[in-house]
Amino acid sequence: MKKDSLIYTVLVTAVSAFIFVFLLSLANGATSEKVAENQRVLEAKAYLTAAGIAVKEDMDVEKELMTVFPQFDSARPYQETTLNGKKLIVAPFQGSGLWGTIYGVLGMSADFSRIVGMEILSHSETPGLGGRIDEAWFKDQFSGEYAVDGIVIRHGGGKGDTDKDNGEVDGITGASRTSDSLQQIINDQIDKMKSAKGGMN
Amino acid sequence: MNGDSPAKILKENVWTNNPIFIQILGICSTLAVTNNLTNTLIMTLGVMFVAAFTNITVSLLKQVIPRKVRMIVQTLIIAFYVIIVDILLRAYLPEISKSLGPYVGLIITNCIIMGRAEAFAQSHGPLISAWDGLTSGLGYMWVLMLIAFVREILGFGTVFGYAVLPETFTPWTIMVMAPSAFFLLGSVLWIAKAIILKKERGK
Amino acid sequence: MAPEIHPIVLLFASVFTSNILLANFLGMCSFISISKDMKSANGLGLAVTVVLTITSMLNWVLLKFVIIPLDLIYLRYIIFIIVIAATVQILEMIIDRVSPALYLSLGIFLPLITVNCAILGVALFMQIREYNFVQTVVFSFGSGIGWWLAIMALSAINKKIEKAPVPPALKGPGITLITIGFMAMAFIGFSGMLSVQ
Repeated sequence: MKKDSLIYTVLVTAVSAFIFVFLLSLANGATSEKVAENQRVLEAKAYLTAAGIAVKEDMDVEKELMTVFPQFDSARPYQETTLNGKKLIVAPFQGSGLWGTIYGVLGMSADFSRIVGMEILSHSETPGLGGRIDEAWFKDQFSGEYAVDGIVIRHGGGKGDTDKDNGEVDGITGASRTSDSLQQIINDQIDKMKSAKGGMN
Repeated sequence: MNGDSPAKILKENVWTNNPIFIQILGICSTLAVTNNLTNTLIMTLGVMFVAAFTNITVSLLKQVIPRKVRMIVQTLIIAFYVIIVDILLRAYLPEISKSLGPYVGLIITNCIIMGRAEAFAQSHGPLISAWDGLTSGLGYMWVLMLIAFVREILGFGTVFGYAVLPETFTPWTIMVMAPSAFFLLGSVLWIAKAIILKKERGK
Repeated sequence: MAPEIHPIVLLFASVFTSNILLANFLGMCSFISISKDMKSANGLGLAVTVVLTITSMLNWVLLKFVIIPLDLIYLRYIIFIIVIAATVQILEMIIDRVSPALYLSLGIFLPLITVNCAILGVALFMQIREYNFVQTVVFSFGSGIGWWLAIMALSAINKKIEKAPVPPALKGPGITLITIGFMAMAFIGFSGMLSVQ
């Protein structure tokens, strides 16, 4: 067969495309379980963090999740539990950031006076800028924060706010739009959880 | 083969003919994540991996691929390895995969990889081509790691996420933002070119 | 779920505050080599805008009706890049037949575009940010215009720099990069205007 002929050209292209795609589907199939497990672990960790539990490296998070939330049911809009004599409710949230949807989990004390914990599940903000909402120092600011009138994410600072009673946390330096969006999302979420809880009682 | 020794290729790709200094190639996909050393390291390792394996594959297949569809098959090969990198990251380093977002996929359009495949692997054997891909990736890596180091230490006061500067240090916000990457890369080019020019004059 | 971002805000953000080139560094390769002369810069800018808008729409349709239903998300890079390469080829053929004059000014830039990271970048951003169709069109068009604007401005500045006394070692790409840095800073200045949202 001549190397410049049309048949040869089409054949080589088609065969190589087929082989590459086949190998990729094998690789994808081999890792899809691992990816799905990563996702489950990520979600379980988020719920635990939102409930104020420090997640350790060697923890079986899925087992831990069932211990903390004995009646865990992802079909319900929020999960309730009692930890150390304090009632708290935890619910997933989502909302628009600067670029795309931010998904996360928020935990509140049952009287809605304080945030217990906040975890980001996924976002598409700029890496290194708005993307830093996923960094520990930022998320840790939320745990224990006073939130009767919602929270404020301050511009500037960027070091972390240690005062748990002022209802304010430090935003991300250079990413004021993401900080503003997240503030909106969290405050909306608090309202939503309040009305969902009120509706159930 | 035409007598390119591994040591000469190393020196050329890392210094005298560094893909970034001389050709300004391939900065698009990685410059965006250079405000963080960990992300930069993973991205440049990804580029290195893809460059080396693409070179091997192109070199092995160079007799088989018809001239007319060479570019598209090369793109296919590059995309194949990039997807492998993406799948591996998602399975074993989910946190980093999350923070890199779309930038891993952009390795496909990194001009260094296509450039080395065209300029080197097309006319050389698989082993030396692999070496060429690795060293090009290395030349790319050290420049971007240098930029990432400056940006992370001045922008956040940290190195690989560990705080190294005292609490009293005021982070330079500009280092976190896009313009600083251009300034730093411009400065690195300036210094490198000054050294190269001085050497030439000394001869 | 598509984020609730108003198309006008998205257009403004993609042209100015989050310019695909100045904030996301995409499409640098052809940018630095072409930015020497204004006429080619104009041609390339137009070509990028056209190809960007068309391919993003095609990729969105493919993503929505083929890739996601068939669970082929891991193959998206290959599919996106093939769509881009094919679109560029077809566009080149059409322009050649329909308008030889346009082909002369635009056609030579088309092959450069397949490896322009801005095109693939926009497709990937559109997928990761889960934009709906209108948002995709606005975002890709805005990114193209933003790229065009940046390359035109840079080539105009480069004309002035040619006459300026630049240190020999900084000449060429070095000074261009530093100029781009200043442009990027200027564009960030637009972000104060976005509070209308």
